[in-house]
Amino acid sequence: MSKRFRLLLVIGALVVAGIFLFPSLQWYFLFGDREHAQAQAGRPEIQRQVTRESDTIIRSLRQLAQEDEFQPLPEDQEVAIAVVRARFRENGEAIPSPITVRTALDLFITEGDLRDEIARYLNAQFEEAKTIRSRIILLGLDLSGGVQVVLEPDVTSLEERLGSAPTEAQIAEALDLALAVINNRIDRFGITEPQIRRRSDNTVEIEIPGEADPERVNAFLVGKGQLNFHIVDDQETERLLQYVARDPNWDPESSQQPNFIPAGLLAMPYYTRDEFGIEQYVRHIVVHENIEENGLSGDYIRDAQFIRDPLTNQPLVNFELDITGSNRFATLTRENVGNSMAIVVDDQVRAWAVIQEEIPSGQVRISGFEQIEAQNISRVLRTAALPIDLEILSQQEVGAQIGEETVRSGLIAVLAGFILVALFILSYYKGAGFIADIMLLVNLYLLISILAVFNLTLTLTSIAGIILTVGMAVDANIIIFERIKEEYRLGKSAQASVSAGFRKAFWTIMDANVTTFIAALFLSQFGSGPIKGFATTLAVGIVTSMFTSLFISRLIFDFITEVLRRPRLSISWRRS
Amino acid sequence: MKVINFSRTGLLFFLVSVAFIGAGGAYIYYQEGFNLGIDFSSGVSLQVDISGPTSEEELRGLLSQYGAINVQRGRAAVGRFIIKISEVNQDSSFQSVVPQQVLASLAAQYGTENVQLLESAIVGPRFSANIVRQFFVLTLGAFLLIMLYVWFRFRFSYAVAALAALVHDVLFMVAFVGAFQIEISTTTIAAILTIIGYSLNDTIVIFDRIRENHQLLHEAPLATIINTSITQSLSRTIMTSLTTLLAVVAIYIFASGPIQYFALNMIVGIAIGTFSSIFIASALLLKLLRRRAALRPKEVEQVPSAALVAEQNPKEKSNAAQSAALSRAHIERQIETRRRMVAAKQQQRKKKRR
Repeated sequence: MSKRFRLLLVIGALVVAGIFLFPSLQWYFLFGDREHAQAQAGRPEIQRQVTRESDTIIRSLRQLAQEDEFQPLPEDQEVAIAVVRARFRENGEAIPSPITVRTALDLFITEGDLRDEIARYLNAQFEEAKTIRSRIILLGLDLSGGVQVVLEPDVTSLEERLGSAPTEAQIAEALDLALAVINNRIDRFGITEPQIRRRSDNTVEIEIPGEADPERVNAFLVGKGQLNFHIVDDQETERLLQYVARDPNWDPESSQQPNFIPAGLLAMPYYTRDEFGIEQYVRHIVVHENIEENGLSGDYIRDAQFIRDPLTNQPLVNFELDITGSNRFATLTRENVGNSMAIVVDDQVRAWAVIQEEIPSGQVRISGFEQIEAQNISRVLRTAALPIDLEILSQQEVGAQIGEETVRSGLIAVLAGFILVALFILSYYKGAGFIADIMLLVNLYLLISILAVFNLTLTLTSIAGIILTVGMAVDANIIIFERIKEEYRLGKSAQASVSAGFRKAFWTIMDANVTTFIAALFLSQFGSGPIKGFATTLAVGIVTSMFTSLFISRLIFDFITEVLRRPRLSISWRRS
Repeated sequence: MKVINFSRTGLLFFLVSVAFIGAGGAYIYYQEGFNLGIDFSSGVSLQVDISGPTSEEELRGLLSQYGAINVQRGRAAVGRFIIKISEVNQDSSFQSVVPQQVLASLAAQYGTENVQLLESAIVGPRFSANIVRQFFVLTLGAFLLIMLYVWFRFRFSYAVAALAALVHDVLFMVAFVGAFQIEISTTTIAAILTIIGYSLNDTIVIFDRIRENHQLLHEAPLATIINTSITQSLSRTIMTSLTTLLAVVAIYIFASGPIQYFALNMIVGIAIGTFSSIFIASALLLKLLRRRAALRPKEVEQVPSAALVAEQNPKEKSNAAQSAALSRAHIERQIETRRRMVAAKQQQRKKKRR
């Protein structure tokens, strides 16, 4: 390979690494709290926020128009300005300057149109923040604070349900379902999106960044995955709707349930799923809380199947109730003909329908689900609660304060280790040591960018891994330098010494690094998070340090001896 | 620079090491086992910050109702305490209930605003069993694969010697950690596995040199080859150990929490790994290669090199004479001459074939 080609390759690698690293820099140094919150929000939270924000924007635009139609859009209306500009561009028209409130409003046929456009814009913002977040180096819980739980399926509980020892496939299926249920529950928990990972050994790891709040963890684990039938109070539902219409800022999550709703009734959110399976909030529905009198517990469900309506081909869930359940359901439906009944899964209304007549057979068919969901519900229902009990294997909470201290001390340790090693190498190898120090920096840069591209989580132990890599990355350089020195001592020319030194050091470095790499690879299979992070860092570090020492520093040495034709090597503080 | 006669000590250091490990084991037995961290003993660990005067004893007394309890003062700040409660004969609600109760008791004693939960960890009984099992499986797996690689790249004797050194390192570290009652956590396992990689790295670099010199000077006595190789790579061994030590010492001084123990384990491991590559792996390799040579009749290819012929029989030479003859530059010149000769021979062969 010619030197020019090698140089291009090195520059290429450095540029690519820079591209990998960019989102992380953006995230940690350019983004503010708003973007951070956006990227971590769960789906329902996003929807709520988008609705709230677009409402606010529309209202302030309305107000601005009332004040003075021809005043330019104020600077702080960034979203509105962006949306208007985009529309002008779409229409192929020149963007007027300044954009007045009137032109902005006239550009859209209806206010609804403008509102949709704003909502779309905000949604895209959330999506972008999420995309960027998926490409950065995340801070592990020990650095950012939060809660981590590791759950293990309790196979005996599944065995009791099935009546026989479950097969691997059955366990896996039950676990998948349990995760689907948990995902569903967690989604509604609010601000930050938890990470749920299924590990190869069938354990489940859930991480919730942010404030350490064990209550949240318990809340979603204790939830029963229950499906119940509730009778809807149409009158109160109507009142609630009117109330919400008057007060668009009413937030079902944070505000209390309005106090005009009498005791014994509950306002529950009604969600449907769109074609992608993403929850869409529709509205709130007021139902009777007591399922003994005005509803039916899902415990009476004996079986549930997923079927399709023979006429319309709509997905349906068919419930089969046991005898007690059938009798109670018959009474319930007889007494409530003309009322509505809601199917509530995990405190969310999933479907509701008007009761046309008494249902005496104990066979209930409910439409209004997406196919996947109908299938899931029917499967979950067969086992009533979580399809498999999950036990807490370990749980860890780290306060944000501790996390900050750890980050600070970790950074100081990396910096101190780096400086110590660099000074030591520089003082021992002089000129060559300077090259090794630069390689150390390049190595750190490449290492972090690769960690970023794999979206690896940076934990305390991976910081240790980085420091260790700094120490060990020098090793390849040391092997090479010592070899070059030996050759040089034999009286060879600088160029010949360099070339012989690299050649002889190559297989030594290969053998030494491949074996360490094997150890790191095994280490990275370790189920537990912290060790995994450490091993991955080490393994990546081995690869990058080989690239920097065998390829980049070789190029620099070749450049010095062949292009600059330096007759002497600066590789030692004494000429022995 | 002289070639240092490392092999003179033979297996002495090996025996010393075994004695140390044995003593460590006995001491661990005397102290009734290891100081297992939360990862290995199921229970609850809470790190709390209490402002206002208090002491470990006071906390211990306050919380004694919760069963087997251990209170340690945290390192970083004044009011930090680590409270550990093991799960002994507790029911399943233990994990969720006890932390809350402990915090409530503390809040009742010191005031809610003065007690802050910084960190908590709950470990179920099966978690630790999993870790230990995984550790053994992974270590054995890594050993096996490493041995195969060394066997493939070198020879079986090299693989055995390298592996013996690794096992030695692991045992030594376990003995050290146990004897000084350093808390064992998952990071301890990480440290041990890292040292396996590190020590192997060290050993391989020396073995690589031995193999190279073995091919170049195969008439020379094995001890000379091995001593030369260790001496030649000595400056590299020391430099690498020093740089890695510098980095790890930086962690030990500046970082806080569990990776401080990790750094301490690493410091011991690096020292012992470096030692074992020189005094255990190489000494064992010498023994193994000698036995191998004794089993097979040696094919002697006569090379007209006076210096080498003179060194053929080690018994004829006194130690003093040997060290005088084996100045490093001298050996290096020999190796270089020998290398040129081999290269020339190969070229001749190539010419003949044409």
